[in-house]
Amino acid sequence: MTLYHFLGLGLLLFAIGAAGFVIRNNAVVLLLCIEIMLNAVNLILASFARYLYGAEGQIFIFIIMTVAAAEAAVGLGIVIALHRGHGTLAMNRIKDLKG
Amino acid sequence: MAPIFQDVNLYCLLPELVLLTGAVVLLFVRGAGRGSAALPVAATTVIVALAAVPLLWGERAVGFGGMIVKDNGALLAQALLLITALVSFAAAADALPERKNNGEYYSLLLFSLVGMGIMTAAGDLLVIFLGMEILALSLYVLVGFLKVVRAGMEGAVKYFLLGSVASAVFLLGLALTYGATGSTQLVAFTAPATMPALLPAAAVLLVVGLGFKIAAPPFHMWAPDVYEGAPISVATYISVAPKIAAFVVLLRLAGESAGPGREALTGAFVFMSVAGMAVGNLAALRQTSLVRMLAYSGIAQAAYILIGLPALSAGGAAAVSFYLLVYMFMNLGAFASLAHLSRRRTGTLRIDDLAGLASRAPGHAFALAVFMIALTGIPPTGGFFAKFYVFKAGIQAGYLGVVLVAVVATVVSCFYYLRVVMVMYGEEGGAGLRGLPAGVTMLGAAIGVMVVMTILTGILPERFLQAASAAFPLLAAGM
Amino acid sequence: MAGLSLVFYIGLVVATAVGIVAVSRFLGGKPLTAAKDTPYECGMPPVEMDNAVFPVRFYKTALLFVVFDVEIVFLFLWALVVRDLGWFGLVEIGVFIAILMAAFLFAWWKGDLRWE
Repeated sequence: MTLYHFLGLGLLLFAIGAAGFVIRNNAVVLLLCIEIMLNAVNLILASFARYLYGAEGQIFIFIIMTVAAAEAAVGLGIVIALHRGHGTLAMNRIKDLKG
Repeated sequence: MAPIFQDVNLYCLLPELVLLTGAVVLLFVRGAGRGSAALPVAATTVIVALAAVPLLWGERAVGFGGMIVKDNGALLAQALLLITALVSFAAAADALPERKNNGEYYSLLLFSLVGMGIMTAAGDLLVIFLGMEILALSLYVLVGFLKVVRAGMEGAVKYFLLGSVASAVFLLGLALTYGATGSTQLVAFTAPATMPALLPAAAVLLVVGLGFKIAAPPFHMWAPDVYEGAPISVATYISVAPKIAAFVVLLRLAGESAGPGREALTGAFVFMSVAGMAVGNLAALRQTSLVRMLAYSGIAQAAYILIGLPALSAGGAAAVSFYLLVYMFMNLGAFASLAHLSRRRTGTLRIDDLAGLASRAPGHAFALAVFMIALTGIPPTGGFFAKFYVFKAGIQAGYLGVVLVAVVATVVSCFYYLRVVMVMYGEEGGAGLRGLPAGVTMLGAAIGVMVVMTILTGILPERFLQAASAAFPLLAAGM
Repeated sequence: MAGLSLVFYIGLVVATAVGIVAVSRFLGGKPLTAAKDTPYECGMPPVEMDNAVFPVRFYKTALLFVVFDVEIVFLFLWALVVRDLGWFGLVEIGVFIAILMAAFLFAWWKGDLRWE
């Protein structure tokens, strides 16, 4: 196992998250895709920290995790409010705004 | 090395601390409407924070071991941001419903100001990210603040989803920078890298992630939906404040970059600029809703400002900060003028609704006309010189092609900006909109100041340009 | 050259990610039987549909829990170096907890901790 194995896995996860974000339609699934992308970044940071530079990168992960949790909390709140207003979470059916 | 108190130096975050205290107090302010203490508390906090700016001016206060650098550029941006907040307060007094708990609204707004203050003063990518997230999380909620409006929730969800992806992209850029150099400090960009091959990718990802805040392609689609769905006072704020903060960060990134990262950065700026001009102007042409037109115009305006970033060697930093100053005056003015017109309306405000406004409310129509002319970039206003300086810097730095596209885009933009003026002055009837009431109101005063400043920056542009370049001495001289 | 191979690497990664999704989209086709559309293909049939309404107060509590739970992570980091940091660290963590407490008090004051 080398740095490139972990780096590749991290980039692959990020790309899967991004591809999922473009393709999927349900708001909650989109939230999941974002979480995949954030955790992919965490993995990349951890592998750089482990193979090249030392502990600093691992501290970044804690900060990113905290921000991700706050983001998920706000996001779920917004999604619940959306579901109450529109009765659906399918993004292609939510389009009052146009132009 | 154990950290010591002197490293922390809370003094350099004085304005942010004031804002933070105010925001926490506002969380516990109950009540709404005229009798509420929320607006006075919020306005006082912002004014006190504004008073702290001259205190720190010229000191270049450094704190947290170099993670916060409160130099003049950061302070100039902070002053602009606080003024933006004050104008949006004036608009909010009209736009917010009477019965809602408005303390939270102002509290979130102050939190977003804290985030932007940290962003603009950051000396480290991770701190920039933290500031961005504080800003973003507050704004996500503010966009959906009027929950009863279905469009508001839709705008909030779109803003949240795209914003989160943009921050994930920014984070990937941060991770790759860390991998390339072993540090996330901005000053480390110029240091020799362990893995230089990663730097171009990192630079592009960082810029694209930040591009969300200025509504630059590929993350621009949120702007029209969010401006339309959000309360008009929030739209006023979002259309100006995050752009100022993000441009200051972009200026820093461009100023610190070197080697392979720099070429990629320049490429990204040029791409975002050209794409933004094309998308913004062409889409703005076919809008009937006034707010959506202004949203696309905002995308185009950000694209013009982007020209100055690869041209730092030719005085691009001063040109960019001058443009930001003028943009603040004219765009705030335009949105503030709409704030009164669109209050207590259920549907969207269409451009045709403005017909005959000039005869019913000559002052109000005149103000809106001045802002439209300034946004087009016609001489007696600051809008002309803002464009002129940026284009000049672009040509001197060798980006003639981009500037030519920008000139064509400006000509196209005449059609939609001046159409507003023509509808107001040339047509009669309309939806019977009433302008601002006679007498001195907060919103009226704010619009008046914006009109004066928009024209003043057009009459004395050199003065303002010198002040702007004094704020970024390193960038202006060093390249 | 390391730079070029890295570019190939990233290209390969993107191709794989898009490829996986695309292949499942084109080759997957329509579900063969109606059972393929249910949340669980084997085992008990679900009792309720997944869009059933359930009380939002669970969400409220869960969201508050998630946020405060993750913030507490920083206490573990501090605990690792508590001797090196000394009083400085104690004051800093005190400030951190005070800020968290403000948020907690706000949630309390708003009545979000009450289980009605």
